[in-house]
Amino acid sequence: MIQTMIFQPVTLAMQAGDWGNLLFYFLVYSVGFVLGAFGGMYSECSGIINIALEGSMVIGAFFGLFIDFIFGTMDPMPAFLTTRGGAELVIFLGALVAIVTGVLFSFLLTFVSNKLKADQTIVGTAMNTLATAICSIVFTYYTQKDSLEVRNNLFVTELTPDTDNVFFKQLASNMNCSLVLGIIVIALLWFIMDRTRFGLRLRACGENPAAADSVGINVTRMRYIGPAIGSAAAALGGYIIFSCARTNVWTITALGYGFLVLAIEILGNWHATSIFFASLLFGFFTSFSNVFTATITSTSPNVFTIRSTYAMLPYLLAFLILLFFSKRSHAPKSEGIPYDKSSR
Amino acid sequence: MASNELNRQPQPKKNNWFVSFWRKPNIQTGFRNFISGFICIAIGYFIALILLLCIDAKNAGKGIIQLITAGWGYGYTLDASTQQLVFGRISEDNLPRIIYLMTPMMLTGLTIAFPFQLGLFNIGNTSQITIGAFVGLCLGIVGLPWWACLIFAGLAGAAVGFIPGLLKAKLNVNEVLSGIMLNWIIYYLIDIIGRLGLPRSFKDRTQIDNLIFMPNNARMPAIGTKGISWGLIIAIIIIVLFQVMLHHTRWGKELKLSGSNKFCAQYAGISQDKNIILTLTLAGLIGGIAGYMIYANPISPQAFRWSSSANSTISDGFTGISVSLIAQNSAIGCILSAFLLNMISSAQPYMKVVSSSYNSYITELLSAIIIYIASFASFFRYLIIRYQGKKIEQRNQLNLTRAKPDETTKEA
Repeated sequence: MIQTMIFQPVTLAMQAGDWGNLLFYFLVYSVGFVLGAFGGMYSECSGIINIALEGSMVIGAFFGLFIDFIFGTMDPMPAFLTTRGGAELVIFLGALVAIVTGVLFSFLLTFVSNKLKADQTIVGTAMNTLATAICSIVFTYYTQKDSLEVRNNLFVTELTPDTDNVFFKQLASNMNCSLVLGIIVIALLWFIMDRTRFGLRLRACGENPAAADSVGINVTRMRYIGPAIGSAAAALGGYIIFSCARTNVWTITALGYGFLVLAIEILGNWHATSIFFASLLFGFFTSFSNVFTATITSTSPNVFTIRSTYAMLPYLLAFLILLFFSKRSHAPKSEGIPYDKSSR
Repeated sequence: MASNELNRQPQPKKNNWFVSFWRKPNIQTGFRNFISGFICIAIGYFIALILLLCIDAKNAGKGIIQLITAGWGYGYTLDASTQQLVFGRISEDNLPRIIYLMTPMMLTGLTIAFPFQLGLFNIGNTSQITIGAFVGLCLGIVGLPWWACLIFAGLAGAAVGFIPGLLKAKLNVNEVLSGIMLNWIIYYLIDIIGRLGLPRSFKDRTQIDNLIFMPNNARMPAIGTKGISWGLIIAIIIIVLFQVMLHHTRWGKELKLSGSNKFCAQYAGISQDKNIILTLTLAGLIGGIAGYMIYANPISPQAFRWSSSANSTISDGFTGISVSLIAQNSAIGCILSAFLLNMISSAQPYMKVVSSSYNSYITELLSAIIIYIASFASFFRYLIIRYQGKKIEQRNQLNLTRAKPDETTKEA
């Protein structure tokens, strides 16, 4: 029976439309994961363990989609919102709101970690629950209904290109300017961390805060700014993933991408380029698990025709890589330890 | 001789039984945990009161009372004749429902609270609970009696809990990450087994995503007719066992030492590898039993959802984290904490009665706020210790103490 489950001939038949779909999801997931992982990297390099990336993704996605929802269900709808330019403007506004809410959400973590010296792993886990609850309350208060399903396909007709080319149509429909903003932000974050003085000082606060303090860097301020940037990036990543998703509705949950992003950040050994390539790999597998149903066929159902195998692959891969590479990890040495000036 | 009596130093009076009991370090720690947990809950309710005032100020007082009492079966209802809110009995079934929901939650809280004494954050408890539930259900459908299902579910959970323990001990893999990865791997693995290997008879006829309910001989035997089962007694016995083991046996004290100072424990000869593996395996055992109990209630069992569709996530283990956080990571506290969480969430259907703008997610927000505040409750413990230290100093200055050696403000 195991033979019939695993060793079966499978045929992969992808047409032009499927390639377009795959490339679209690959772009969306990769950008989202890179942003999330960079977010985690920024906060951990400054010394604060950020498990609340899942919460940041939910909060960013929700408030961005909430802005889209408010503008998209305005009654009567202003004329300029039905054009492509208007739709893109609303989505850009949603992305900005996502960034701002990410920053505000991070203060819940950093205030408690710096001032009250709490255990950062635990606070982060508690904030994941808090994020979902906050989003539920705000949404049900605004819509006065009990359902938690946010419509995320409000501007679909404006964002679909009218071409006959199936590849291009599948690639570019529902693609919006937040993806472009995401790519710009990725480049910016890489540049800041790798090539500027600020990035070096941020890393110093995570490796040896006493030494950084002796040079004159305000370690506590860095430990507020680092997670703020990080949480903002994760929020933007969450917004990109869930606003470009082609499902009609989004129930307020983050589907565990926040934890996948944590694994990517650790596999990338806290270096920006390694994280970039690791998240490309994970983005490929996640997008493949979304796309494959029409493309892989086989004579009888077996392991390779089930969506779950491909959805499981990123996690399995992360698990195996963790097995072999944990001994060589370059975690920031003082992450998780609250900085106390008197201990210098 | 008379001079002996005159030269003898005045002896301080011995402490009475209550004072010497109260000043034991274990009792003091438990007392501080309880008080700081209570402060977290009080602050959480206060913030909920402010929120209720913001949403609908007129009925905020009734709303907060409804939040506190609806779990017990009393609350406000709309009297049809006068259209006023009257306080009365709203339901007979709330309290038994809370008790049977609380039974597995206590054990899921213990799966987090127990490894925490060692410093390990067993976030992989979701995988242990899920595999315990799956194995227990499958064996129950096959026809084994309830105690066999319980044991095998526990063993399955222990096997899954062994993996992060082994990886942490031998390869220094962070148990948070390996736990999270295992959560998702087990989740999808059960989906694969469900699609390929499970016979059709196991699955529910109408809802194909669920397994059928546990057959009657595999459910736990019931106490009374309201759904309370022997599982409650088993769970309480397990928790009391773990509490006693942690604080009153040698191995428990070794675990606590390893948690607070790893190097000191190593120099004392305590094997870290063995302790880590054993702790996480035991946590997996508890998780497996908890998983079985969730789906084996005698009156109204839940349906196990084996398939992983696009919008479903696993949250059984995260309720365990909530329970353990509010309980300040103590084993006995998990009982009360599970009761509190269920009490809050069972007030959910009754909030709309008080005012139409109060929706059902206020209870969820209240729980989340309490959990968030509980996550930094070590600060409240610090405040309590400072306060107790000041009182001791004042008493010392006024020289009103009885015998001094019992006095302590140290954390045990």
